[in-house]
Amino acid sequence: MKSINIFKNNFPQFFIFLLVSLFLTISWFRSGYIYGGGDVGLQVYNPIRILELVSYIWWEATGPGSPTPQGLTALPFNYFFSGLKLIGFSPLMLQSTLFFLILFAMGTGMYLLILFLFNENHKKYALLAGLFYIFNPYMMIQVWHRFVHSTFFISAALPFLMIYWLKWVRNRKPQSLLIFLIINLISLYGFGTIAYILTLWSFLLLITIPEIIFPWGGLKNARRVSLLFFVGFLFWILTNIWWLLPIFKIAPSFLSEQHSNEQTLATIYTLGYQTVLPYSLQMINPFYLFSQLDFGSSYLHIFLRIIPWIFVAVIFVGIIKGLFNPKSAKWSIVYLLVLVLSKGVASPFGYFYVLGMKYFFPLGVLRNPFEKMGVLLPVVSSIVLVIGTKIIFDFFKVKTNIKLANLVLLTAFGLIFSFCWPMFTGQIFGKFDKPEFVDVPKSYSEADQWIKADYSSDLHQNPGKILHLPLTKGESIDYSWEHGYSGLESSALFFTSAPSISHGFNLAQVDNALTSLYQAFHKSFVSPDTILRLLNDFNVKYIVLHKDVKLQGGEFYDPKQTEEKLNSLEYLTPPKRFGDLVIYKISDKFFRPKISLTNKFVLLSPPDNPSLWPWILAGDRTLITDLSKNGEIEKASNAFIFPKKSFSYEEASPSSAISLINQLLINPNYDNLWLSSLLNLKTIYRANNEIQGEQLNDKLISASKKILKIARSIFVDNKIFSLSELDDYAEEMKQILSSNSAVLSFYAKDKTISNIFQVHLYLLKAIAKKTPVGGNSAARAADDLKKNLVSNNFISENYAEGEIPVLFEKTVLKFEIPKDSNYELLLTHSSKENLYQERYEKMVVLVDGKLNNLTLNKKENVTSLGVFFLSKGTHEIDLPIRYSDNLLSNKQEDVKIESIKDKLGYFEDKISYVTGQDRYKVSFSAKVEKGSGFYIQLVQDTDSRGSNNQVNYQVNEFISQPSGQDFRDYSFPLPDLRLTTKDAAVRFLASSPDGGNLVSSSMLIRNLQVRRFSDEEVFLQDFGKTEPDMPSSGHISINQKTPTFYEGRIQISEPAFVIFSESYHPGWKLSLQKENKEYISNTHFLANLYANAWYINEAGNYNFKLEFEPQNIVNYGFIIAIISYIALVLYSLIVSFKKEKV
Amino acid sequence: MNKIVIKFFISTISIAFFWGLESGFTQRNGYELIKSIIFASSFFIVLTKKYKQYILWISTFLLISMIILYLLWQIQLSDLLGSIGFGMFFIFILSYLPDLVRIGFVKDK
Repeated sequence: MKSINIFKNNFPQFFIFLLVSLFLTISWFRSGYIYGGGDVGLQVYNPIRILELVSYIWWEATGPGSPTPQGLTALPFNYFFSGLKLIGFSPLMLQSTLFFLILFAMGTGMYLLILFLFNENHKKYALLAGLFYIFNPYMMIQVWHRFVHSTFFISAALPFLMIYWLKWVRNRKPQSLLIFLIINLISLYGFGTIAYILTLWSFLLLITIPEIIFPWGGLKNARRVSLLFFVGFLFWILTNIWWLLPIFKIAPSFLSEQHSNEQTLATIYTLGYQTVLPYSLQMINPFYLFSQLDFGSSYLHIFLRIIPWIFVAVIFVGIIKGLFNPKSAKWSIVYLLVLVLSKGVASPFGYFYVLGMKYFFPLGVLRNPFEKMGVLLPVVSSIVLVIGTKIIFDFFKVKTNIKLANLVLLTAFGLIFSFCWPMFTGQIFGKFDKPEFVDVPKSYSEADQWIKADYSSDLHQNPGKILHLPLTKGESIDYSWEHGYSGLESSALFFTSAPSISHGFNLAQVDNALTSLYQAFHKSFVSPDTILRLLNDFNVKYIVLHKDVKLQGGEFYDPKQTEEKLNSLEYLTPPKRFGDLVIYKISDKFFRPKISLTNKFVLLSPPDNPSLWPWILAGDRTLITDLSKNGEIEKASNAFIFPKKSFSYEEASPSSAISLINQLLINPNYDNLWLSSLLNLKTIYRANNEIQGEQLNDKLISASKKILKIARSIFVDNKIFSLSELDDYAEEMKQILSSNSAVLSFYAKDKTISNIFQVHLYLLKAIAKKTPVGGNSAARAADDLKKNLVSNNFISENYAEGEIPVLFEKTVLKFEIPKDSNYELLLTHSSKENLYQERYEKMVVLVDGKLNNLTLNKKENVTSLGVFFLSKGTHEIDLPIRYSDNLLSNKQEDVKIESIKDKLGYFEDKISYVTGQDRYKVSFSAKVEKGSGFYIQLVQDTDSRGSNNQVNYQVNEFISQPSGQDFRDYSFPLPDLRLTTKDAAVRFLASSPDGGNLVSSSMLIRNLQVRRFSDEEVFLQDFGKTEPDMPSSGHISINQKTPTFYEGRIQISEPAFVIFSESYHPGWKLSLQKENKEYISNTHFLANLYANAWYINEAGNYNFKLEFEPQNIVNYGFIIAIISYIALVLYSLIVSFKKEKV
Repeated sequence: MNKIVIKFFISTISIAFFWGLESGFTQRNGYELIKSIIFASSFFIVLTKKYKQYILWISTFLLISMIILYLLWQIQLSDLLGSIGFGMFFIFILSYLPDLVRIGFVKDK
């Protein structure tokens, strides 16, 4: 009844919001296409498929499967939209309906909120607030243009949530809480961005506290409001527990694997530059508006840049004058607090974010505060804007007349709304001149239908997956469709017939395995049998080759090459073509089921990067990794142990270290040269806003200068040094190396730092020898430093310490040995052996520091270096680094490069025999004759162009070197070339950075060399086991009930492994029943580097159940939520019944 | 007199608070400490009440300067002045907290 009254009383205003929403929707969809891409992909393309996905927290359809509990929040929305789809809504109708509803809810919600906060006489202002809530820079840029659907829902729901929350805490009506929870349920999609939970509750707290303290109503009131807050929060938890609990049980470990603390801090600092006050006050994001010019260059015009300041000025009037009104005073404070929260680390008062994120990892979800907290800005801005507008309007009314006041009001708001002109013209999605229309080619549904028809009979008894090639390592892809597509890889939506292996997960373990799977089709040393083995391991039944993928950035191999390879594989059926899609099927007799049995296996200690060698070496044996280390290795027919950690560095010889130290001691000007790599890094860190890296770098520079100062006072000035100086130095080094090892490994990747640390060690040792006073302290500092350098992988455990090292440039490999045994040290073959002049017959190897001069013995695929007895535990093996000859085509002596006036001088030299992922070391001598340094670039045929048309080089570093000095030597490794690079070159530019202007420069290059690192992989093989593999004699039948539940029968005549080809997760549990007894298998292993395996150690016939246990939490959560809703409904009814009675 | 000393003492201590809130006691672009001193001084002035209105005028002047510099594409300088202006404005508004707590709004004098 009440709602009918609200509708009747405000019909004209509601009608205006209806017309505005309708107009915008028609304008946006007049071309007849849906919008898509970006982080969201195609949310309305197939809601029925999404509903299937989000009903379970294990997403099987995005193969090889991943836990995605946050998907549960999309359940209500997709349930509703699936209904619309079933009654015939097309994707276009679905998207336009969604956008219309969101727009209408935004306007009416804000309108009703203003009426609720102030009074019914404020209809004019409430209407303006509702329109402002739709048409403001934040909504245009951060909500619609960013296209994050969770933000749509949150921003539409916030005004309604506020109304009913305030009604609840003010009037204690359970109906208000019930409506609040129902609105929350309708807008649940918004919490797919977990950060919005924090946003909502921070905001509710912010608006509840004033109910207690403005004015202070006594302790009784404080207790009452606090209790209502707590009860409201409790009911919110209870009614949302079905998705909250799975998220908080699964997501933290998942998220910490995806984002490190250091990445989070680097992000928040970088974004802090976009949210400085001049921008955040106007609610604009300069990146999209000014840098990318996504809305066109008109926003650079001063007229449009002035407009937002109109509402900012009105808001400030509202803040100041609002303080004098009992109804509005609290909103001034709330606005200011929301602004401080939304602008992130930008000044003033922004450091609390850094502190929070440093010491409380979950706060990392707010790493983009302008997006996550900023969604509150339009809400509070609309409220304070109304206050300011009324004050100004009343002022004009008194000072002039009502007509003029109305005219001023309309003009001001007309201008404010005109700022959002792309919203009216429908140019807010994508670039203003290139909207992000999506027209999925028909061939996709045809291909899906074909697979569905081919496969349907087998679906549950013999589940298999579709492998999509090219396989992206990330989560997004670009297609060359009619209107293009750039965004979330969505094959799982297009192909409903079976799960799709089509993208990475930002999880190292699974992504490394997927990278190996993709590379197998393109590496010459991988046989067809190994490819089949990989296809079987990933449970692949169909392969879909996408020839419509854009090949930018060197991430993908050319699909034509992939097609050639696929056509040559005999176990694939002849291809079926649908437009740009080519479908292959694994012949039935070569297909391996999703759950299989084996007793042929090798124990694997996996490499820490993508590698095909485990599969090649294992042949047809399953790769089993004993994650729990429970001793199953005894049953292995063989074991391959890849290094747990490897790194390379150059060990200083005593003579070179001493000569460097002598130079440093005599000539203080030499300090900066010695620390030049750190000084260069400082500029890079500063440019990238990596404040933690910069601070660490500063500490390294400061500690290096301190130790030099101490050494100079002893060796040059012959003074006794102060112990406190040494303590200071030791403390600083301790801070650098121990207390923040995660930051160190993230930032101090440059191994030239290892050379600087080695000089520190030499200096400390020399100080310890020279001075009787403080000698012990220096020796202790040296020991501590060495210990820390070893544990942080800067030097080998067997560091020579003042003696001539056996290996100067070496690769240090750290192996985790599972049991005492003899192990054979093996090298895989190099892919370009002919480039290495130095052919090894013998090799000097250090095993735990012990020198071994080994004779090499070539075998199939591998070269044996010998056999060693290694006890259980960690062992270190050091090998020499092997370089090819100089691979530059031009081997001339000196090269002079000059830049004069407008002519940029450069020298480029092509590298020979290039293939993707090659790694090189570049060395040269340079002399700068004019200018302050030079640039070095690594140029590749896969370099892409950015939106500003600038080439994205993998290396584009400025090296600072003063002019007039003699030749300076440089030598450093280049990063791995991109996957599909075929041509590469090094380029030197005689130029210095000067805001884009060309500075006259001149330089000389001498002894330029680019040498390839050898790409052999090193591993150990357990040498002791001779027991032959037993032939497998088992049978398994499967019935897949749901994506999280399988059952069936297993018959085995001897102990065997059950292999389950979904991504490994401890939540998967296998239970077996035999003769009415139930066994839960606790021996859960990692299989084939990504999947699950369990060991059954007793032969027999079993019934089995395989279940993803965390799914049960959702089911229990549903029950709790339903009971909570029912309890609240009953309580509401009782209260209203009592009220009526009274 | 005693009150002034106490207020001065509190304001001096607040330099550390503002510096911590500004940059975690580090100097990145050299302005953090200066800003903290300005905020602490503003805090002292609003505590003493006598010249409180000047804080509003200065902050308004700084915020207007921020807009002008922004329109001239001098974003860094605009941010510098704007952040000082906003910080002072924030301190000024928070100085009314006692009134808000007492009666829920500020009485027009």
